[in-house]
Amino acid sequence: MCMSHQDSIALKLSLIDSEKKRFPMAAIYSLYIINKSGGLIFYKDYGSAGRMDTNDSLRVASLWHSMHVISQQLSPTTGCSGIELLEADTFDLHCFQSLTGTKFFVVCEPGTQHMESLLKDIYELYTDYVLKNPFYEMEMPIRCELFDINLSQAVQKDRVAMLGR
Amino acid sequence: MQFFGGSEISPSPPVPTASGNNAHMMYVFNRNGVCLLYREWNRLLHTLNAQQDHKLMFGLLFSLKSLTAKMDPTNAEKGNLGVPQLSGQGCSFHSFRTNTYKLSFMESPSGIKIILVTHPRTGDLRESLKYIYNLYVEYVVKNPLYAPGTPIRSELFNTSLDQYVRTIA
Repeated sequence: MCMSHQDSIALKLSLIDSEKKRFPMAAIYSLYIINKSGGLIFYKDYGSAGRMDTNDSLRVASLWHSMHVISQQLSPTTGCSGIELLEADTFDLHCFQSLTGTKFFVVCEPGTQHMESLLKDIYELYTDYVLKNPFYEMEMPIRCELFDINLSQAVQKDRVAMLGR
Repeated sequence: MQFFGGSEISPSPPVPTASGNNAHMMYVFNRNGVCLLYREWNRLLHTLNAQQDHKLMFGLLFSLKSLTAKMDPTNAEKGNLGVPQLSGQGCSFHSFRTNTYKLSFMESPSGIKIILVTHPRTGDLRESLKYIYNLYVEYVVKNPLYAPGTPIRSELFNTSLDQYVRTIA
């Protein structure tokens, strides 16, 4: 029997959902992608208490954009490229800025390792499934199914790898 | 909310792992945003004049605190973004790192903020900041000639601070 494209995607998504139930531990709380002018183009929550609404996530994203710029101005030496890691009392925030100014940041549990490589992976997925999508308009919110699917897989893989350690 | 030691300086400051000149600068602010102390040891780049620099630093800390309070993933009751918070209230942060520096931050229950900017590879400086806070209590708060809220001009505090900061790895 031949499975249609939509069926295969639905199957994949249900697999991801079952994975989610098996691994409820949230190593990563949320992921944000902001464009070069500080607008939020992607936000995904992976189980933090009190999910942020749309307005708040937009505000937080643009606030982070400005904090990133100010931190460069306060540097004691030249060549500062902004905050990479913010250590708060209850979470860590890892940020990666691409050469074009798009910022990717994850909120995760304090002391979570290997977040830089996860961010690089997500950046790679972004270039493959978002930038190469002919229907995607630059600097606009990301609505790409393939990106969502591959992103969930990357995050799950990271979680499984963490549990295995 | 934690308390920072007793009335006397802890007899042994946190043991430094290696000696070096890692600290770039330090700020002390009171709860009203007045810069009580600014020391710099090794700062090559000055983009702004001193007053603007202090304002920008205080603004950065204030905004980062409201950001972390809003982002706190373990607490569902967070209130609105940017609502002023008392010290010790809401989720705060203790450090951030860029490719050129690391900023460590501590706030006392009375709203005194101590900020230390060091080399990006330095480790956790929370204990060091507590020790510096103890120095502040001993040499500044207990000085009868010091009026609270005015800039710190204490020779003794500065020398002991310089001496201690030189040992931070």
